[in-house]
Amino acid sequence: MTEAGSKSSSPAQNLGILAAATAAAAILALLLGPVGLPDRNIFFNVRLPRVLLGLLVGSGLAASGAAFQGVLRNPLADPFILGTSSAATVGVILANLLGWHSYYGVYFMALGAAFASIAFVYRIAQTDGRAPIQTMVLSGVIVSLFLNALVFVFFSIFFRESFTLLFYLLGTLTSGDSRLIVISGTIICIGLGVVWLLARELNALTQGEETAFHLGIEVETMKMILFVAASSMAAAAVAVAGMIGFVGLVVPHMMRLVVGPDHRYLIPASAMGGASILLLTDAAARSLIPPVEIPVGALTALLGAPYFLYLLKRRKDAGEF
Amino acid sequence: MLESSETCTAQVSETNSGAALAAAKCLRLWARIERALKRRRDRRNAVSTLELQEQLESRGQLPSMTVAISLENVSFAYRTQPVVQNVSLEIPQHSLLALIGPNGSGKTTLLRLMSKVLQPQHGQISLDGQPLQRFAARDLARKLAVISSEQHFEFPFSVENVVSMGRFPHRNRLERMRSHDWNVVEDAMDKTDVLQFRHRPISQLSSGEKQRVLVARAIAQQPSILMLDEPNAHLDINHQIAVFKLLRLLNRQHRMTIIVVLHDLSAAAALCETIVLLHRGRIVRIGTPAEVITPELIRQTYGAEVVVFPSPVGGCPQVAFDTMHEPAGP
Repeated sequence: MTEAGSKSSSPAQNLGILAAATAAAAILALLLGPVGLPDRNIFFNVRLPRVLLGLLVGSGLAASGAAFQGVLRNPLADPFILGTSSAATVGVILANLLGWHSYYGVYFMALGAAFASIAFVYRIAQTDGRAPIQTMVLSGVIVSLFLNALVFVFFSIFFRESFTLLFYLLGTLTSGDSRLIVISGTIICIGLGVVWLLARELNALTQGEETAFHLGIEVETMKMILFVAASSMAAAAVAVAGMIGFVGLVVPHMMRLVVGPDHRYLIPASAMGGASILLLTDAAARSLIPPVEIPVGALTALLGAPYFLYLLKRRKDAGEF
Repeated sequence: MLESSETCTAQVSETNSGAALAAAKCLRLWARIERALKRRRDRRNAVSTLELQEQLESRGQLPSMTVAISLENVSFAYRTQPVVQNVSLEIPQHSLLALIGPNGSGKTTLLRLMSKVLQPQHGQISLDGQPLQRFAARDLARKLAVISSEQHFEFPFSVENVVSMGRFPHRNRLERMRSHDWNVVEDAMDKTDVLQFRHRPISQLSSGEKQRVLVARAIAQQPSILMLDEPNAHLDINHQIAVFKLLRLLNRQHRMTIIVVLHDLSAAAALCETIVLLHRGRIVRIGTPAEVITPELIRQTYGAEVVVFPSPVGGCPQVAFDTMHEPAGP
């Protein structure tokens, strides 16, 4: 059934265990919070949307990160490194400034800005019809720094008093807007499906672009589709929950330890792992210091950055850099 | 009461089958889209082989199918710098051919042109009598396997996983590995002697072992043509010998056409029947090792003084450095 031969059942079994863990995390997140046992109203109007949002955003970000890492053959890539998330944030803010408060306006701008930034980064990195990985990552970092600066320029000019926006910029799952959740959820689910259908292509691309071509993959087309799918997921997550960092970077790493590098397992595993980790972090963010709520994006960064440094150190010790 | 509950179940099963129907419809739609796309690709890519054959027959110029790859006046330049200039070459099927030449002579570029990684600005390359640009990536991958010098092992895929990637061009997207595919993979791992570490991550192997795994993946593609870019780079002599023996076996027993870029002139002479010597993007000489590897030609192209002597094993020419004699003059 799998390409791992005699060890065939183990990644699938691990996926099952992950699914159970995700369900457990969701239930835990439903129960945990500043109010011990929520009444019906709080449960359905606050807790449930928040948990749903956590599931969607966590899985979207992690799957997007896994796809970017596969395409770029760089275990350190994710929507943030490539500037996609920052671009989507700029898009959301621009939509607000232009007075396009409709859902279409916001999503149009977020996705549009994300595609534009990926296309720009790709264009910058391209030489002789190919885009080398290192230049792509480097130009992504530069673009994301520029866009982050832009976000804070906009913020300080137009929204100085808006604490909600600051909270949004730091990443939060507090948006209880059901339509936002539905639209983002749809985009993320489609993106997940596309990326998972292209798992084989992702596997081939990790072996190098020329090698992937020699294995029968239409490299440039597949890269385009994967970039669009991955950045759509990231933009949809940003549109509803702001910039939540490190989930896309760290979760695929952890999942490679659990199910191995094969993207047919890694993509669903990352989606589930990202969902459960974001849910648990969010539960902690709202119940650590009871009346105060920490933005979950700040907490993921606090937890993710040290784990990431640990990964770097381990790779350095293993001589892989 | 009973009646209503029954209608209820009926409704439920109806909605169930409705969902199943919808899913089946989606799958069918997907299959149709893929078929349509393939048809479009085919139409764009090719007058079918048959038509082409007929056209050529009517013009009385049926391509001889014994030519695996042919190049006609092929030129390629990076930006403005010409790398391959006006190269014409016919590579017969089942040949074992080496491309040699000094650094920057265009041998790797030529290999990349022949494997469609690069497109020539002038000239025409054909594979089995059909223009190379008409091949879709997947069709090409069934005929041609390439082991390029670009190699990535960032992700810890197991050896078995890497070798089974060779079956990609033979399967459809959601198709599983069949037992036939597994047999091919198993056989490829057996030939290259990598079965004993089939479950180890490729990133942990030595470079000689990695090279053998890549050859196994290429064999699993079941190509008629195999191209390699310096397969012996960074290998110890024992691994070099193992790789060369394997290439010979594939050429002799499996009638594979093998084209290999080599740096090591003695190795090229020992391995190959035909050698193509390149210099500044042009072919200087094509011939048997004895015809190509001569002190004069090597002086002309590499600008190096060497001594050429027959190998004690098999008599093919071998190259020795001449560092004893200073060139005459001031």
